This record gives sequence, structure tokens and C-alpha cells, in this order.
Amino acid sequence: MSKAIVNGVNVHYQTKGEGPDVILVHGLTASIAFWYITKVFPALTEQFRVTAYDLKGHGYSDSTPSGYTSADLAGDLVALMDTLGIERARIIGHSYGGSVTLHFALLYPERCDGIVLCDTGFAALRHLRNIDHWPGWEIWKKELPDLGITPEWFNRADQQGIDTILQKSTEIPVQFGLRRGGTRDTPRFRKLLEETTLSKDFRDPSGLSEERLADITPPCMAFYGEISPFKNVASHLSARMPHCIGQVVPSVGHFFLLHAPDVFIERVVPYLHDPAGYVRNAKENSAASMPT
Amino acid sequence: MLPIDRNSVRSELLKVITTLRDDWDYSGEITEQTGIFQDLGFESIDAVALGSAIEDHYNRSLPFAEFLMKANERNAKDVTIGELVTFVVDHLSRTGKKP
Repeated sequence: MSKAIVNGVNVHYQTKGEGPDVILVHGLTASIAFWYITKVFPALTEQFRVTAYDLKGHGYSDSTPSGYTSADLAGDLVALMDTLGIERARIIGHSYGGSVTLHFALLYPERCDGIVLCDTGFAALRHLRNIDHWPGWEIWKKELPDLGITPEWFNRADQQGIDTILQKSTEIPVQFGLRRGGTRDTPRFRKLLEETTLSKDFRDPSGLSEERLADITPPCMAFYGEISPFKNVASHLSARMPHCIGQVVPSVGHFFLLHAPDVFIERVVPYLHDPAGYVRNAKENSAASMPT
Repeated sequence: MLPIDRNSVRSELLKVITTLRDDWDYSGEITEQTGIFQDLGFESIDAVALGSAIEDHYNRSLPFAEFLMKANERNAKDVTIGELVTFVVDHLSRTGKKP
């Protein structure tokens, strides 16, 4: 198992393949395993040198009590690249991993050939969220009304409310992957919720404000599921970021990588080979970018 | 080089599994029918780490990501020790072929 010391913390990573560097950043409470079961890791290693790593506090990386904002984790990513000798990379982030990725592009554009966002909501863009499309309504349809949790409640939820939802989520089985049907109430998950500031930090824009979007210069391809709560973010980003193209994947939600991995891989590989050229061509020829 | 017959691989695999997690306290008998998720309580990331540990143990690169991806695609309820043994034996037997 490969580990690197990153800002004083042991970080678990894997690197395979040959070609331009691609780095994969998973979402909250996930791990490198997400990229295995979504096919992304094995598919991209055929053409790129792919590095996937466990975020601090996740998987086989060590945890710290605090330091989980997207700015903190972008700092960890650049430190990981320094340690591994990766000067520049294409970076792909899913969900909160996309917040880390976009924050990285803002802070370290010179280390970034291009980025890919996969259904990332962003703390500063919470107003764009369509909570009616949150998968939890279906999963917890019996429990939520008893708790007084409604879409209106969710939109007003304070930190205590978010903590309630996260605690509640330990009671439901895993919905997908090789452990589906198994418990989510694992020691790793408990530790993240109870011994770290993660549940507070992920709601903190930590400098990645709506106004700063226009300052992000690396090319960006932003994928969103058609029935995701965050679908509206795609057009918002492509209108505000000069080098961003939005992509909506039909008939899928927040975890579109699990349900439509081939669509993603087919669209993202040509972009990864030449992010700047791909975005330039797409912007010049509007037919090449999918309107949202 | 370690032997690659089925019994030897199973024995080596069990050694790798028991050293994988220092907090691991499974005390039941492990057979080829034992499932790593349902029986041994693995999380997905433990399976990823197991793949790395097997590669380290045999000093060979193995397509473990594809193995897990295919198990997921066929809606497998679990991955058994027997399937892992088959995977390792198959790939170690292929001389000169790197994934």
C-alpha cells in the first residue's frame, strides 16, 4: 500500500498507467474505491497515468480533528503533487471532491492543465440546489416526516440540522456498490462525524465565492445529472467561468458515474487529451457543447 | 518466487488478509465460500487495499480494479475468498503479461 506524507498526514494513494497525469478526488465519506466501482480508474489507466487518493480522514488516510474545508483539502492536493513529483495534472472531482478540485484550480492554476467536475454542489451555490431531487426523500420517506424534515426545513437547516441528517444517514443501508445492503454505520464514518469538523467545514465556502468563479482560468468540463439536485449549477458555471463547458447526463442523478459510467468516459477522454483545445473548440462551435 | 497453485495462493491470501487491518478481529473459519464484505466485514476501501497488498506480496501488478468493477457490474452480493484465489492464480499464471 502506498502512502505519502502530506502536510504531516499519511495519505493513501494509488498510481497506475502511463501518459499525462490525471488525479481523482472522491466525495464526502467515499474513498478510492468509488473510482474502482465506477470504472473510471481502470478505464483511464489505459491512456493516462492516474493517481487516486483517499482524502484526509477517509479510507486508509489518517485523519486530523480539523482542516476539511475545500481550501484546506486543495492545499493537501498540491502538497501530494509536490511529494509525488507531479508538476501539472488534469484533476477530476466527484461531489465534494469537485469543490476541492475547483478550489485547487482557483488557487493553483499553474499546476492544473484542466479540471472535471462531477455533480458538485458548492457551498457558495447552495441557492441553486433543487432539494426536491435529493435522493434522501425516497430513501427515508418513512422516517423524515416523523422528524419534521421537509424540503422547506432542509433549505433552512442549520448546523444542528445537518448533523441530524448525517447521523440519520448511518441508519440506512449502503445503496450501491459491492456493499449495498450493508450498514453505513462503520467506525470510519462515525469517526468522521463525531471526531472531526468535516460536517461544518464542507458547508464553508472558505474563499470559493460566487464572485471568484470568473477568476478561474484552467479549462473545466462540468458534468451534472439531469435529475440531480445540482443540475442548475452546470449552466451557472459555464456562464460565469470563461473556460467552462457544462454537460448534462440524461436520466441520472447525483451518482451518475455509477449509473452511466460509459457516457462519462466517452465524453471525458477526448477532453482529457487536450483540455484547452477541447474547450476552445466547444466554445467556438456551440453545437459541440451540450446546452443546459 | 512464491508457488502459484491454488492451495498455496489461498494460504498466502489469508496471511495477507489477516495483516491488512490492525483492528481486524474476525475469529471464524475462513473458507473459499467466505465473503469478504458480508462475512469478514470489509468496506469497499478494504478491498482496494487488499488488492494493493496482494500486488505487494507477489511483487506483480494485477488488474484488481477491473476485478472489483466486474463484480459490481454483475451485481454480485459479495466477493468470496474462492473468487479472489481464482483471480490471483489466473493472473500469476500468465507469464510476461502485464495488465
